[in-house]
Amino acid sequence: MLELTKENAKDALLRALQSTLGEMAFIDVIEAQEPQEFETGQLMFIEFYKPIHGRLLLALPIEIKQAIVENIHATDWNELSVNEIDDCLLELLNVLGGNFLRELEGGEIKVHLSFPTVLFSLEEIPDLDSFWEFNFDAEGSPLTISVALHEEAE
Amino acid sequence: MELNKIMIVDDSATSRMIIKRCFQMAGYQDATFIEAEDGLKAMSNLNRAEVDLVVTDLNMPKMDGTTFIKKLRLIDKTKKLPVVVISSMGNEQLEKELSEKGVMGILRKPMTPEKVTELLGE
Repeated sequence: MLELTKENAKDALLRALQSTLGEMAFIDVIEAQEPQEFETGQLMFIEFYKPIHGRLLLALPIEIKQAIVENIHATDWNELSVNEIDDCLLELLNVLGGNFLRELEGGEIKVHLSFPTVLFSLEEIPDLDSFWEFNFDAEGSPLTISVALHEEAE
Repeated sequence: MELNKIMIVDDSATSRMIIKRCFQMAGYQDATFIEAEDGLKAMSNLNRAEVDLVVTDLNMPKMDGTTFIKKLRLIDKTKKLPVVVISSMGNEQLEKELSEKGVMGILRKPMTPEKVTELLGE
């Protein structure tokens, strides 16, 4: 199990993003050299209960949202319904959440996650100040993940 | 392993699509796939259809995967039905618990055709 430091969280997130986006959507992810401002095209949230308690927010610009969904479905964006797009991104977040916890806590752990949800505003999340924000680059598109982690499981 | 009819149980339509695609790419392109979005619907489908394999997620609303597998094992028709679990929550302890319930294996999400081949053979 890694210590719950900002650096360890960032490294675990990067590995989790690389495997999740790589295997599900064939998209390469690297750490961003510097934060990039972008208009959020999708905001999603998932909570962890085991082995640690935590919360994770994923913010994507429209370009990478579209690329992820099109690659996973292997079809054109315009052919997909809103439900199909939401379901696709929520499933991605679910897998990302599990992979992140395994990267952070070690491979053989009992993981318990909430069902992922789409957010319409950051105001839906209390204590935003307690989140660490990390910036990544997905084949030229920025994406941001914010996490809040606590040692004790619920 | 010969599989003509495969049931996929997952609340995410995207996940069901990915699982189906992985099985097709792993050599089961001629199989028929039946889909259900939770354990309850899967039980109801199994009353009407014979399948060779059930592939199920664990974290689902209405009836989760663990309860679904327990129920399968209580019914004569499905007592020995091969089950594969696909989950983002896999771990050694869970694998042991599920293998005691006759689960063939746990495939961790994200699914790939290689993981299917590794579990079921060429």
